[in-house]
Amino acid sequence: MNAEVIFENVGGLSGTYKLKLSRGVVNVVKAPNAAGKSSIIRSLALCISAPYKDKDLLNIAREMGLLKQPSEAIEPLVHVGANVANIIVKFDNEEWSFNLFKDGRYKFTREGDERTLITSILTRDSVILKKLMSGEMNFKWIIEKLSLAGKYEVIISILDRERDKISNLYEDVRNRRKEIEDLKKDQDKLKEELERYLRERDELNKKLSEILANRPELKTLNDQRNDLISKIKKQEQIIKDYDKEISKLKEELNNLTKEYEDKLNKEKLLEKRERELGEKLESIEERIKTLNEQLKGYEERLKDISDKIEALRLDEGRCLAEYEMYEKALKLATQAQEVRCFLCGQGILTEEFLEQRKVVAEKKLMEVRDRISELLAERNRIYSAINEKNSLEKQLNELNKEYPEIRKELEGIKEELSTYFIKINAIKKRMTELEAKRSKEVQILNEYESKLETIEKLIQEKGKDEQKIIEKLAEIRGRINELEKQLNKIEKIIEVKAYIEVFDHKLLYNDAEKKLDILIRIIDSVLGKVREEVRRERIMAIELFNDQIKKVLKDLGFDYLDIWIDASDYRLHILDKRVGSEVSPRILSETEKYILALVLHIALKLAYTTHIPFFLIDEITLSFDEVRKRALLGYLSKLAKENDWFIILTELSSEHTFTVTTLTSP
Amino acid sequence: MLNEEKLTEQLLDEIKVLVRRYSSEDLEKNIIEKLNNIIKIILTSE
Repeated sequence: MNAEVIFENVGGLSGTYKLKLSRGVVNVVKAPNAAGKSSIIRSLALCISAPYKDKDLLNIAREMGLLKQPSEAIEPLVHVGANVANIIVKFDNEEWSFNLFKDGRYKFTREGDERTLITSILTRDSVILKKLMSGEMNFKWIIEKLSLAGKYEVIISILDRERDKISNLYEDVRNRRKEIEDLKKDQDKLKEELERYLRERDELNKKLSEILANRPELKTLNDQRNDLISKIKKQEQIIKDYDKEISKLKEELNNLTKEYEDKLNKEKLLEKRERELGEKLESIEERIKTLNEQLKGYEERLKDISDKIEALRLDEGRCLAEYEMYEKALKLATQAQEVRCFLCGQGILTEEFLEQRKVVAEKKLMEVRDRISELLAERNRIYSAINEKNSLEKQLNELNKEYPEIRKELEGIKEELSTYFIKINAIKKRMTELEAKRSKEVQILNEYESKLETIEKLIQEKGKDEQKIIEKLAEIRGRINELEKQLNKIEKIIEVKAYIEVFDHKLLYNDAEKKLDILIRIIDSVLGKVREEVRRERIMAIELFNDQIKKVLKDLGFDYLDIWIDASDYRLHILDKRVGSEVSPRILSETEKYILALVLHIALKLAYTTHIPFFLIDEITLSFDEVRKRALLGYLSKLAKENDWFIILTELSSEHTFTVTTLTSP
Repeated sequence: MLNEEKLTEQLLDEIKVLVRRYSSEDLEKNIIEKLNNIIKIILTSE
């Protein structure tokens, strides 16, 4: 199966260029210096990686040494005479496109990720190679990028920051609680003092009454006074009863308001869920409709595909036999042996004729194999459409069950809300009535107290003995009034301070403290578990990488080497088993460093992105001698075949054109 | 009644999904949203 890559205005290339690539083999792209090889291979890397969610693809590419820093916000990968570079990759009935604008913006059609960008291309500027060249052995940066550890670290920093905010809020709430407790203590002290004054007032009143009882000329005034005192007492009790009832109603109102707000929140959540469900149901139904269209007559098509594959398999066998026959004959011919016509056994077949026939046979074989692959891909697409449809139908059933339940719950809540609303209004109305009544009673009390004051003034004028007691009583009354005012003030302060706004929720201070404490405990516990995940992710990533390094070394025949990353310090170690000691990369030759970078890159690709069938190597083999190069190309061909990859390798050429040749694994 | 253990597991499971689905840049908005959901559950509990 082949791929076609179209490059438009990429790097130094003006206009459109097409590259035909073969799958399962090494595609060697040859062109002279500065012809644009690196630009096309780097832009292809961006196209196959373009992450859907990541806004920072170009920065990662620069960090990885894949792109140069732009000067004056101009992207150098876009041709100087154009505003946008376009790259389109077509293979397996798929089309991936990537448009890179001069100002650094970009658009793409598929979902990729930064892992592909890191693992699928090795250039002479790649950061992995630069680190090896400079002798840096710490690989923590790459482990963080390839595992989920880096992302978990981001989560940890966000949770840490939010925890600090919540913790500050918790401290504020605790301080508020202490403040309220202090106010309550003050309130208790004032209440005690008030009680004391009330007792003293009663005693003085009693004493005055006894004195006045022995003064017949003041009998009427005394009777009037006693009558007013008893009325004042009764009036005070009436006001106290109103206060009690009003405070009870206040508490009831607060509770009902809280319940009402909770229900209101629940209503909002349910309405959101109802909306989401509606949208999801609509999109699933739409998708099922599209799949049904696609799957029309699929049973017949599947049968047709199976029949065709069966027939093509026979063709494949025939083509392969023919190809092998010509290949064998050609081998004999190149060894200067006579090859006679296969049919008549008379004529002698020339090397040139056999080469031509071999090429024709190979082409036929490739065409048959391409056709088989296309049919297999089509069959897979049908199967995956069937699976998708089945899974969507299952989801649809579940959502259809959930939808009426939510509607029912929502209706119930709306009904409850209207009941709460009626109750709250009734309490508010009752409170207003009670407060009006209370203020009338306070007015009566004030009138009684003023009358009492007048009578006491008259008594005072008529006798000396009573003078002191009356003065004292006036003083006590003044103090009682003052204390009541203070108590009232504190009561109001407590009332205001008792409710705290916590993340848009009005909570009673002790409830807020308790809930914030729970929240902090949960965040701490999650943070602990996420930290554990980070550790696990790093170890897993390192183990995966190390396993693949070992495999690549074995496949390349470097059995005498052991290369690994140590999980404790992320350092790369190279052990030469022949001498039993570690090798510092500083003593490696430049070519050996290139080979090491290639080994590490292949291991990264095998460990993380085998599913992306592109592996790009830009001018890495330039300094290799023939023996090394042949061995490496042999290994890459095997790798391409085993993994069904497009391996693309660029090389310098003296020709002034781009040429693509393929190397097949035997 | 609040089940702290269940809420811890819920948030952790959501984080595991988020790190697989979103890039580092988009994680913040999404994790804050999940955390706010947990805060809401706790603050509106009895």
